[in-house]
Amino acid sequence: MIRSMMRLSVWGVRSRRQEIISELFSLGVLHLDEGEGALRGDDGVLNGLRLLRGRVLGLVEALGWDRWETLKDSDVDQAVQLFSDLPPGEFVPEISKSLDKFSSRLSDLQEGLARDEDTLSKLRKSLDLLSRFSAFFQRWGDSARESYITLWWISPEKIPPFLAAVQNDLLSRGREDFGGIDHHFVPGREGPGILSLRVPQALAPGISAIAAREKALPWRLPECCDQEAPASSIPSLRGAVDDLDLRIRSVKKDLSENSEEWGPRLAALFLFLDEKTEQAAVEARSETSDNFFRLSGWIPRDFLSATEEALKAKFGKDILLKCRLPGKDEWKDVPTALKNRSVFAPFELFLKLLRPPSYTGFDPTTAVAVFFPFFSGIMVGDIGYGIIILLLSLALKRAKRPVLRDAGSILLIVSLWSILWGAVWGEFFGDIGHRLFHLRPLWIERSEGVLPVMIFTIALGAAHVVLGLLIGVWQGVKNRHAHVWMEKAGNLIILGSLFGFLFLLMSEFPRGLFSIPVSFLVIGLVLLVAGGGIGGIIEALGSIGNIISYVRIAAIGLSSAILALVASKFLDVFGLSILGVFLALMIHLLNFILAVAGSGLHSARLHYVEFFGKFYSDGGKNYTPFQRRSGSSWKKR
Amino acid sequence: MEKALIALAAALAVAIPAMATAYAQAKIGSAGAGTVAEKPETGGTIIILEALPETMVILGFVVAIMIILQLA
Repeated sequence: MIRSMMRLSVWGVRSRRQEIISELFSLGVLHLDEGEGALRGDDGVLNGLRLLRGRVLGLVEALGWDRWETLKDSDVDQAVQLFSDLPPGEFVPEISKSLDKFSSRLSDLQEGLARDEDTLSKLRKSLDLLSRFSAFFQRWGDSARESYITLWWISPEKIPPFLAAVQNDLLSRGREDFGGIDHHFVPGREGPGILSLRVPQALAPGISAIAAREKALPWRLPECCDQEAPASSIPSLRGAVDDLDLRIRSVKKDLSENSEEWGPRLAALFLFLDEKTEQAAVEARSETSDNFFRLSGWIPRDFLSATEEALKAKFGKDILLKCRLPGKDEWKDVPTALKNRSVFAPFELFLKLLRPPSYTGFDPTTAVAVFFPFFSGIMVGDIGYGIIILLLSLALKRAKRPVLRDAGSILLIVSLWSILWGAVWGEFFGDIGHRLFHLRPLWIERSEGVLPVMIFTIALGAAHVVLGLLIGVWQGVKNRHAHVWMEKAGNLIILGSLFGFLFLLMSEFPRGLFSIPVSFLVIGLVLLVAGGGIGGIIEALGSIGNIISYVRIAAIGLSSAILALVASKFLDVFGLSILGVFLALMIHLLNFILAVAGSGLHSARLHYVEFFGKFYSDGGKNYTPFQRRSGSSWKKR
Repeated sequence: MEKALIALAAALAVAIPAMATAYAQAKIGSAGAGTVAEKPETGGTIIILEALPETMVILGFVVAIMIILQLA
């Protein structure tokens, strides 16, 4: 059912505004008006809180901590207690100052790490390159000391002219005894590669000039080893790489420890600031004069007295509460809060896929709780499958997430109906119950009696659609919407007259009695056209289609029953062999999945389309009280 | 021969609407997936729209059963 709501206005002295708003937040029952006052963009406290909240979230992300789901409300409570005595104007600068130090240390660590990683990458590339020249360097052994070995960036096509120029230079200096020059080229992935050149020491001064002429650029060793010759620098490079690697690991470990230690604390601080920002936003939006402020909103009637008592006890004469029932012109603004018995409450899940019903509308949760498992149970209709669903539901009911627990509660009722209908159809994993225990159907075997089951489901559909129309009529009368109740009543009368026709056709009553349903048909048509116009006639035809649509309960049930029989046939064909049992189990598994998914989906569809279509009026607003949000998904926004 | 034709008629009564339903659901499903990705609150409406064409197969099934009962 939809809770009765009251309009509550809270008047308070301005000096205690923050306290009163904080208390309202803790009580968590007041749905504040969205347009309550205009939010002032120049509110310093609010802007300061928003800025700080953003900084804290930035730090949490910089730390690489993202286990928000592990955070508990008690962690946030600790932060609340720490700053509870201070107004935002005082704790915001304090927290900012602490964050500056932390942020500077973290930033130094991260920048140092980035620099080290960049250097390490360059050192590794240099080491890799020099390793490819190591055979060339070693080829000359001790005589390498008398040589001048250099490395050059050069395009492959420039190598022959470069080498020729060096050779000419060598000849012009009369060093024929040197035995010529030596070189080794390592091509790059694209374009230039690296050329290593060995020449006599005497040629060293002229090489750079020749290289410049031939457009070769010198390749230099990294800073750590740039004083060494390339041929002897490999061990030094290797040592530098190892040292840097060690340092990077140490910094990473330090960062990880920081993340473990400070991540949850900063996340809790973020949530605390988030709550404070929300409270400050409400403060900024409140209608405030020199001495007083006012806040208005909606509160469920059953929470009113407890809320009044709590506020009066804490603030005494500093607060004034005024409440009243919503006026007719306010109905569209009243949020919709649902209240159902604990056994029905999980079925509110179905309404979460739709916009909530309007405040004056009808909450169909109880009807869904009755019919959804019933229809699903008819479709599954197997004692064995029912027992498996029962076990599954018991496991789901132990889940941490409320939505899974709700799903478990729904499945539990579905499983009980499945077991009951399994007894009605005489099915236990198809015909295995009959084969092993001589299980007999209480009513009929689905695979044998298709027509009676179809007629039964159509009758069920008629009852369900008629119930929907009756709710529609009641809604129309209650809300004084004449066109609604006339259309729904017309629809009902037309359906009733059609049932009358069918009854008379199948019975031995005199033909003269046909005038009765004809009269009702005319009355129904008049009401239908008066309420819904020509569209109403289409709606009436749609209702007949809606009723026939319930045949799907029989159709899906039949397919499930036949698939279970097919599974047993595998045992007949292959005997009690591994292959036979395996194939039978696989078919049963497939059938079970199809039965659970199909029955749930089609049963939901019958409610959403066929049933809700007769009365459900959405357009309501969700009741979202001013309070701490629960769950984990909201924590990081 | 007559029985075979009646059986074929029953099969077609289910098969043709099934193909039409599959086509319609494919179109609605792809559009619906895009809609839900952008506006998750439209999930309920999309399920309803996705389920609407199934009525064709259900009606086809009813017709097929009536044809088979004729056969019997």
